[in-house]
Amino acid sequence: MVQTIGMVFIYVGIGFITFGVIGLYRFNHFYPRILVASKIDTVGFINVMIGVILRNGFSAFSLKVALILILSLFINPLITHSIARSAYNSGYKIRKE
Amino acid sequence: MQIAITLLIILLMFSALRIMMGPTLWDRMLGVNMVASKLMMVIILYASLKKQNFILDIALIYALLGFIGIIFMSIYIQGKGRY
Repeated sequence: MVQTIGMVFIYVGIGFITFGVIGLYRFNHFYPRILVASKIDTVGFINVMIGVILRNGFSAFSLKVALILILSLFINPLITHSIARSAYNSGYKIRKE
Repeated sequence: MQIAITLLIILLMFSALRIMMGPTLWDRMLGVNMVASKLMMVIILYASLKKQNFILDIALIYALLGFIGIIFMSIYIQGKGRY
């Protein structure tokens, strides 16, 4: 039962990542693209990690996966902020049509 | 579990296509970030498939090195080549 719930979590996460990849090609400017890609990618990462933790139960494996999850929750928004700040400070603006 | 790994590798290919066809420099850096994130997921799913504990260390080191690399690349580009 717990294995099936974990598998459902993993496939829901992969669905969110699919929406992120579609959004990466759907928008045609840089700032909407980075918003959609980073935010939905983080949601998919959280879902896949929760699925792996549920499938493995309470063990050292799950503890290490939880450590990677907490670390990635700090790292992923920092990388996105750094890329967007670099683009804004270098003078990249969306031109009005 | 094998189907999930295959789907993630197909998505990784599509997000790596953004590195090649990105119009600006920052689009390519966004593509590098997304490829690193998906590759970390593939490594963790493979470790969960094989029930081996030491493969997770590779994902941990990959996350930390990707963080350092992309932060320094963006600072380097923001300073227009002077650091």
